[in-house]
Amino acid sequence: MLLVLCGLDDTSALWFARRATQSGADCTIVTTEALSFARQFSHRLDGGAVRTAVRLADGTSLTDHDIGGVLNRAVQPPTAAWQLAAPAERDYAAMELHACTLSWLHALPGPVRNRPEPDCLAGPLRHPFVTVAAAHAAGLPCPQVSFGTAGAGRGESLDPAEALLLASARAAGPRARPVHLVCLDGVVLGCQPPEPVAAAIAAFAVRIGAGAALLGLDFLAGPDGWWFAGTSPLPDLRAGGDALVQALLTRLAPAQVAPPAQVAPPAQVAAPVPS
Amino acid sequence: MTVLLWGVPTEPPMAMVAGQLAELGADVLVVRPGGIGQQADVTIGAALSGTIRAAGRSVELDGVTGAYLRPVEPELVPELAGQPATAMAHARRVQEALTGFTEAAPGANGCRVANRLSAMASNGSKPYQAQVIARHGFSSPDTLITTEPDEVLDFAARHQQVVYKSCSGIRSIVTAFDPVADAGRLPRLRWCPVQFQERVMGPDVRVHVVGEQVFAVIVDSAAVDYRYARSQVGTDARLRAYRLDDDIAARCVALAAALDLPFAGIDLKLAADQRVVCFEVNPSPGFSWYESSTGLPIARAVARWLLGPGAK
Repeated sequence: MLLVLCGLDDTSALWFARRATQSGADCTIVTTEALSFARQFSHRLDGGAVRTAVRLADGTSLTDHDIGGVLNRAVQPPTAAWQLAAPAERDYAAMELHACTLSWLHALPGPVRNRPEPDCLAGPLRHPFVTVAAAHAAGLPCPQVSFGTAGAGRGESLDPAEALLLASARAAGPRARPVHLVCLDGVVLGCQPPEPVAAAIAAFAVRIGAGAALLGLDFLAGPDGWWFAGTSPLPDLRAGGDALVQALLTRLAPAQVAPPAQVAPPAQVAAPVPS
Repeated sequence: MTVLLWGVPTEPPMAMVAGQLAELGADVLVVRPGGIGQQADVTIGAALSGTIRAAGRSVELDGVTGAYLRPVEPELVPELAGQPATAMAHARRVQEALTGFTEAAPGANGCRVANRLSAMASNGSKPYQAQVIARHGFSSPDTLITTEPDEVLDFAARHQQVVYKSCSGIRSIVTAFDPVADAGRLPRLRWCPVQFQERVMGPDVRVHVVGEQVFAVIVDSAAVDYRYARSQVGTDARLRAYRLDDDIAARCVALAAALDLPFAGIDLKLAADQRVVCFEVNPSPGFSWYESSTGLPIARAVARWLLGPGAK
């Protein structure tokens, strides 16, 4: 089974699932909302091995054995069932459900794009300053970005990501248009960006730890070229077109991908000697 | 060169590191979370630059070579309560600027940061951390996280003793599970999975990793959770310095490095069956209790690490 895990309103993931099904894939869509109302979640860690079984309200079974590959677009933990709870209880449950979901998706033996990271379930999400530094180092055209208390007087946003977007807009000029690229494992699909952007993207992806990830890249295209404006672990998959669908189906087919680093049995270590 | 201390100055770990930096003659700038009148401006491009203004002076960011972080959210700072919304927005802007600086600085200019906030996130999922821990050759306790009451009872039947605790970064008191007394509460699991673990018997060892140095403390207590020993068993836990086996020490250093944590508190248990069980890696260890109980020079090591390899 190819599992597409996404939010209920993730039209991009639903588009991919439809295309994958049309291509003959055994594709199952599970929304984080449906996951929130699962009948069973069972996650075991035993001697280095990890086993998980999930049974949804409609009877769908998601065991490690059932799941071949995963398109993971879960940016939020499955908390829909808690939305009317008291804030303190809801916050506690959200943290616990984040912890469970992260561990489950991290441990899945088959290919996952994107495998979750501790600070973002949907995959690599770097601080905008880190992406700016990486963009400069990789050779992507990128503006200098300023952020801080001096911007308060100018009414600038409290969000560093918006500071990057604003700097890019200034660099690209008033006639700039937004461009969204989808990058899978360092390769842009569905679009051929101009140089020097094309040559720098693979190195950029590696520098932000997304060399084996599905990544959205935003640019503003002005008369003098493209300017880097941000990244996302949740790209609009439609921008990648059929080329992306086929590349993802290849990556997410278990037989085509080496299994992720599996947990090795713990070495028997001698007990420390009291001093 | 300046060392940035970002946290509550009177909090013991922050105060102890500040004291050691002062003894070493370091230039220190303390930025208090939510501090009134502070400013921070960061510019990043091919280089990282900017200015922080705090404690009555300004410091250029390209001169900041080390940073020790224990910030709290501005919304939790008492002195901001009752202030106009602009004061909170200003504090939030300082927070965001310093977060951006400390995230980018290690890669941009080699600044030593203990620890980046993004690296602290791994502690938000204990079972995720357990997978990383297992790859470094430590045992993990047999663990079940479930919404199924029957699975819990089966799990409890297979182990002599079972405990339950949060699996996220939210602090919880480790509590013994009683299949009889707790039976009535088990149906609540349907709403949110709960983490159950075999109770591993044996002494606890807290290992503080600072760069490539380790400082281990062994704990003598009969409590399920020795941090709460007085309330659980009537007497405080007793701590003493402990010499770790070199191989285990090396594993601890490698584990902290894998989690991008130059400063970490690793919780071990020396099981009776010779397993060395690792429960978690704390990314912002409150080490002051361990240091004051044993005399181990943890704060000194953190201060030296922040100053870099040339520090005396």
